[in-house]
Amino acid sequence: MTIEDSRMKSIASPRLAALAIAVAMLTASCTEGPAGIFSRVADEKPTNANMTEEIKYATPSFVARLGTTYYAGIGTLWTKAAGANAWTNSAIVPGVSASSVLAGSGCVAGSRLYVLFSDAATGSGLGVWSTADGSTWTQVAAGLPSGQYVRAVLAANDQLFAVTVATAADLTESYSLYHYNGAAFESAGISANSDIGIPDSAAYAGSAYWFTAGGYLLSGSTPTTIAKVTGPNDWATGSTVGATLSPTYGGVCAVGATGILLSGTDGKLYYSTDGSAWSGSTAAYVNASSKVFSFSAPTYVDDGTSRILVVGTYRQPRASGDTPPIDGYLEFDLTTTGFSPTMAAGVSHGITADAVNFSASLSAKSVSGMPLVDLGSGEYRLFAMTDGQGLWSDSFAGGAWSGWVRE
Amino acid sequence: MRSLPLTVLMAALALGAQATAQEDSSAAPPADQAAQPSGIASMQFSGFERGDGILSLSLGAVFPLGFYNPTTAAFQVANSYPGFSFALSYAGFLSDKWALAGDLAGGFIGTINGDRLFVAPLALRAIRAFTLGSFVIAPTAGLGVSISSLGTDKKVDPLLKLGSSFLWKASSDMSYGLNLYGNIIPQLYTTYPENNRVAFFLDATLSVAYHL
Repeated sequence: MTIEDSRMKSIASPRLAALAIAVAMLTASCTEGPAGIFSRVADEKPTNANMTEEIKYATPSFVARLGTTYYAGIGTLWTKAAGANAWTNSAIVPGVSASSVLAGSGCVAGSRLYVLFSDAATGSGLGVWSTADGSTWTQVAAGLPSGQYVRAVLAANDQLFAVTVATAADLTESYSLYHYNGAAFESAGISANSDIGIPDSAAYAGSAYWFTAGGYLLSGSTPTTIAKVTGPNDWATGSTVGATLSPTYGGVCAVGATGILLSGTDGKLYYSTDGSAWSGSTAAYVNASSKVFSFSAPTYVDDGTSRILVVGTYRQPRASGDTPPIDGYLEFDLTTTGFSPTMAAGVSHGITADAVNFSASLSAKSVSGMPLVDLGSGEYRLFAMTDGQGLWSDSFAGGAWSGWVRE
Repeated sequence: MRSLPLTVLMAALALGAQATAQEDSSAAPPADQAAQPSGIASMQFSGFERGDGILSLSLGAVFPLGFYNPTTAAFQVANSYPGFSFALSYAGFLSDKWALAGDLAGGFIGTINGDRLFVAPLALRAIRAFTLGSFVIAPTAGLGVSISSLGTDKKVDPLLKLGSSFLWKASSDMSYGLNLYGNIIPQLYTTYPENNRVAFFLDATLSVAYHL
């Protein structure tokens, strides 16, 4: 090798290396999504045509339907008649300014809607209120302990439950679960428990009631015999001040008449046919960057054609400094084989939407829950409650799901 | 950060062309240039010369014209809205008529659901300059790459750029121009070939150009 050859090689090598690095960076930055980019732009259909502008960037806390009216807790209580497009703000608690009444939790049990209100102006809880027609509201307070804050109302099997919290001098919180027997609240079996987290999801399956409560699972065969039971992957969350963050259950739903399905903020799903033997995901579900999702409560839908499981991905941290990835929701097709520890999520969300509709709607959004409304006659409406990106819905009236649109 | 290597590459190519032209120019200056007096700031513009350079900043609008779907062999309407477009370009003259240019450009296009498609067409272009008094018509054609981004999806695709600039030479130092460029971007996928599309965009910008 001559001196000139060496000089040429020493000059060429850095240039080739730089070129190789540039090419590598360019190719590494390309990720193929199922919707494409130009194809998505070309194929998109409007998702905002009938939206209510005021709730476009809201964070809904619940959605329910009573009769022919939808109700949603979006800061205050909002209502919408079936078939209408616009949501309107509703004022219902006597003696309190409509703009300061916050609807934090709500559900339908039997033929009544129950909503937990608080006064934003004073910070005081206003208790649980009930209505059968959306216009006449009565407070439901009998049996609830005084001095405790009602944190949530939950419904399963047309039974109403209320969660209260008591705060000790050292700020440790303890939770109690009450059942409403039609005349008054009575203990559901969980009283001043500081081991569990707050009960936040309920289901009825296999002739038993199931609740997720932080890192623990609650169950009982009657509404008043609820107790902490061993779950498939319990985490000692605790409610003491400064307790170390850990994964929790995201929620529970019934699969058919007897199946129980749990989601976890550990990015896994757990399934049982009887509540004693559990089957869990072999590996946590991850995003395109291999980061583990944190799941909110799951929803099971049997629309007569498909059996679908949807579960939202949201920003519930599992440890200090943890920021879970978000990507709307995962869709699983249980039609043929049911739950499997290795089942894969549908890449294109092809049952409840399609790749373009999903990319133009809930993709990259945090979904805190996906309540399902059974409209009867084989028709369903699935909602997606996002964190700061409003309320979305998807309808099924036979055939195929309509795709997601903004409420 | 992902476009940094391309930025460096395009700048290097354009500056390289300019440097080559300057070296040639200094080695063998044309007779007419040698005869020109100094003090170019006060000179009337009399045409481009080998070694000249034009650095231009352009602002305007990008118009989506539509998409061709090779899977169905059908042309789809734009289904999107015009947006803001910008470009920083450098053209180095290889002779009094031919120049080589590099673009760092970008444009924002609104989807029908309010999202933003960002397209950065980075091209290396050949320019033929026709001088008509104080005006220059400069048709151009070039190749390059286009970086597209929509939501969390990003992709780099080949680019064909065609169009023309219309310059008014306000002085020997500065020109003002109207630029009309068509960007043709075939976006091809391997995993999801049904998403293959060829996009057609029209850039209409006004520019201020400095003669170097």
